[in-house]
Amino acid sequence: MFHSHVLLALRVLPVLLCASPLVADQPAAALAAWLPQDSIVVLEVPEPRAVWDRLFDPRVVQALEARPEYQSVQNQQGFQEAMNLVRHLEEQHGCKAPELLGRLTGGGMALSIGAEKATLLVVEAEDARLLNEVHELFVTIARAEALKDGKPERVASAEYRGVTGWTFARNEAHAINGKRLIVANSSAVLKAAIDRISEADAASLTGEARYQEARQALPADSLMTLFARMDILKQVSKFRDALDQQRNPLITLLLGPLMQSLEQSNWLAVGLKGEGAALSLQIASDGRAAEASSQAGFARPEQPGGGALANLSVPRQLAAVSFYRDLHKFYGAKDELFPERTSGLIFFENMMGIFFTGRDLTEEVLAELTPQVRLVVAQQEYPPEVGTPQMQLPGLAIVFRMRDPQNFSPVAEEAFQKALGLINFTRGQQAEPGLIIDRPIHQDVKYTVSAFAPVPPKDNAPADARFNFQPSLAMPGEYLILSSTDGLARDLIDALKSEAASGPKTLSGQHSLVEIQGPQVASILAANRESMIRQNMVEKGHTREQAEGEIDTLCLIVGAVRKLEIAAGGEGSAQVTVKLELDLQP
Amino acid sequence: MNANADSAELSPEQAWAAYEPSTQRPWDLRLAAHLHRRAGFGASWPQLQQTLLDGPARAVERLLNPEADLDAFDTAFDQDSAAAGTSSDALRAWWLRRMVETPHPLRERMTLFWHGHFGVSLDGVKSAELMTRHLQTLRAGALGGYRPLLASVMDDPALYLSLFSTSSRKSRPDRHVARQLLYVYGPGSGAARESDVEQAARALTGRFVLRGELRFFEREFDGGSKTLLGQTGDWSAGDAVRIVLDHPATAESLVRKLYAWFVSESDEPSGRLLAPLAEAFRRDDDLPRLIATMLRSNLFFSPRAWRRRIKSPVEFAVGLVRAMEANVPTLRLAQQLAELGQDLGRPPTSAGWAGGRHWLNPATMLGRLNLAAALLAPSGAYEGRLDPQALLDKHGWSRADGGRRLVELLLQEPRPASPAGAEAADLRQQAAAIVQSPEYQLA
Repeated sequence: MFHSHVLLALRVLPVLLCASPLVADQPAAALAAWLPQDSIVVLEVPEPRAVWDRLFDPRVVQALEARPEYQSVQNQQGFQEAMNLVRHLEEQHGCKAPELLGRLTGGGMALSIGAEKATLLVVEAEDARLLNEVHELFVTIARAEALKDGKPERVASAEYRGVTGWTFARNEAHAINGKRLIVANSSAVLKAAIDRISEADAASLTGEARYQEARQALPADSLMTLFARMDILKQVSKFRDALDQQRNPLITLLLGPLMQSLEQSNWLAVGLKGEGAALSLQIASDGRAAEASSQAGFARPEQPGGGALANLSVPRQLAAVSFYRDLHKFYGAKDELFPERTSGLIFFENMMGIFFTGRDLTEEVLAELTPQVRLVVAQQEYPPEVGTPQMQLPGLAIVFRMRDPQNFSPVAEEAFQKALGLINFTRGQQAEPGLIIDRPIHQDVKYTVSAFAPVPPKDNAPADARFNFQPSLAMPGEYLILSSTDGLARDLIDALKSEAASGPKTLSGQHSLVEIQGPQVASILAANRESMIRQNMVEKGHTREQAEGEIDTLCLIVGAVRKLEIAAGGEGSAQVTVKLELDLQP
Repeated sequence: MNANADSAELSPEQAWAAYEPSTQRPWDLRLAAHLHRRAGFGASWPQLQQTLLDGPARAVERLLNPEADLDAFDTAFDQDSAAAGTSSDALRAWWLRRMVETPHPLRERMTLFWHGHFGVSLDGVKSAELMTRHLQTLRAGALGGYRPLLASVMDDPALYLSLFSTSSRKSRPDRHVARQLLYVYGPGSGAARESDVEQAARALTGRFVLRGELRFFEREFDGGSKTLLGQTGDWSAGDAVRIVLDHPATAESLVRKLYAWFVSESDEPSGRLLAPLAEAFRRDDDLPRLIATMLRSNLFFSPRAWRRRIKSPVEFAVGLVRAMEANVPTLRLAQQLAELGQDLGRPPTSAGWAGGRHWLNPATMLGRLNLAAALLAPSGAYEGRLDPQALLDKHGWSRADGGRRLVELLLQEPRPASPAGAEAADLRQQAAAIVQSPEYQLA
């Protein structure tokens, strides 16, 4: 019971407080001044009211309350006790929970985690009287629980440098200083915080150069900020392992620049901003991606103003990705980047050797492509004569830019048709139907498409999964489109024509841009709902109802995202911006 | 019947006569659980209680003809498993789930029997969709007659793909299917010779598997005279199947297999003991009656049948899950059962699984211990879904009585009782210890 109250206290926020404002007249110091200089991770919420306003938005509340999981939690005893307490406080103070939270936390919140998990939370209330009243209530509840458990000594208080410190449980100590509540996971951590604020020359986080740099890298109007000491976190084995993923060629190609930045960074800063219906997350660090001149610098533009191209846009688009990746440089440095030859790399080289017979892959194939690479994922439409497969896979296309289209086009065409031949040969060996090659014309572009011949449907059964694929190759102008579906290839020919009218836009300094359209992702999830439910049932042993609940929750979350955009780059230190536009219409 | 007498002394008439409970050999929990282990995959506590109330005759009747809405169950599961038919992993997972949830465990157990009997494997079939259809054929005919079932399987492309026999021409008859028909599905090597295989292969010519369908081309059929198992004529494939089924050794061979499946695999029954069943089965092809005779018999409920089968990995795991009235992630479970030697959809040879003592060796025994621990762990791959405490709560059993209740449910043999006031974690350990015991490995 006691723990449920403590949890409730944390949930409702106010928390375990104490009521002895002995140094209330002391001038207010910045919350960071309470935190230790050697903090490893610091989370700050300068304006909690803005966060509560968003969390308690009626649309968010309505969406949450509609969830079956919420209704299940609602019936639990602990939840009901918590809600009773909230109602009591609301009645006593004549305002609703969001306003209570605002008055209890409106001055800001800061949480620090340091060495040996030393944890310190500082909360500044707008209303010191309310803070003390709520604390008194919690003291009363804690005492009653301790007495009931036969351990009245569990709730205790003591004076330290004129401040009354309290404890309600092991590994918990707290005090109130004026409008501030200070909660720590040990009395030693609490005492150190009181020492810091009492001594004018005591070292605190505000004096930490890395912290100051990180703060300056973030927008001043962030709703929340996170500061992390990467020089320390990089010693943690899990972080180390994640960074070691660079040994995987594909991960290196996609995420290498970011991982290189993290590898070199001393600090990482994250700022969350609210802009209307959008949430924007800015991530900055002092690490730098490898220089363009270095072997690992395949993601750094050699010329100022260079970078990835703006994304393409096609109908029913789920996601678009644009990279600046010099494949020629990347592959040329593979022996240095990946001294260990993996089976995947060997397979890739063998296949490329077949497709591009007699050509050097680095100098005569990859060197023919510019570093601007774009990917597009879009939901596909199925012709009636083919039918719709049970699992509807989206179309995926990659768009390269050729340096010398006249010379390289026949090379690419030959390689593509060899690949189709290999696929057909392998399928033939397994008595599977093969792909039929066609050369249609779209928008004056003659391109190659391959498709399986339609078969009459059997007993209204869904089409075979193979009908998700019509591998296609189109080369409009200087671009090379390799698409998993005919429809996407045609849509991309249209998109490139329309882009050509104004010229492709270069995103200066950016090496990666990912854009995901939530409604379209939600649409394909809805189309595959039944398949996902079935997979969930055998994968997790869920009943159909449980599986439906889990999949529908996923659809709900995805459906609430209007757009997610992740942009990464930075001429100097690394910058990543994550922008999330939400649509909370119930 | 003298309850304490070894049934080896029984005449065939006494052995196959219906068991009547008596004061010497009463109808009790041990026998009720024995029936469910052999006729299904084990039972939950409510099912055991119902069986105790029913008595042996009614219980067997209920196992053969359950009152549940089978059509609704089959429709839902057929849709789910057909939808998952693009992957062999999903096929195994859905079948395991079906075994756990089926209201007709005898039918599902017989489907598993026929799967081993016909020995069709995904290794050759390669298509999960065709394999799903094959299993549906087995399920549809699981409790029908052997004649229609064998005829259906002989027309199933999965059989031919599994035996890598995708074309049989007049000039080059394929012998794989013919050999399987005579030696495995028919009278066996004691009655059939290689010359019969050659003749049956001629009768099966003209059959091709093209794009997943079995097709017959008249021009490739050898219409000449053949002598098969002593009978001469212009036999077609249908004739060959009929001749094989009419051979007396075919019925005896199948009855012998079913004896090992239901009664005992530790002794070799005499021809005299099986003769009444084999003769009746050859006459009427009435599989439910044959099974009912076995399951109701004095012999079935005698010491000669008690714990005389080693549980296959599937029986081991599905029995536990059914007893615990829960479900588990079957995708993962199917993988672990394959590691224990029973890869559903992939019998090791065209003769199916050898079974019996072949299930157990030091590696698979260790694997069973680990699987029991994983299934009953509070977290991990099976997410703590088998929860003895939840079962206690569901049936209103006290925690102090938990150990004894688990023994009654899972083992029906005396085991050390659990300490009073055991916590849920200990209950899990107790349940795991029961499932890891040598006795639990026996059906």
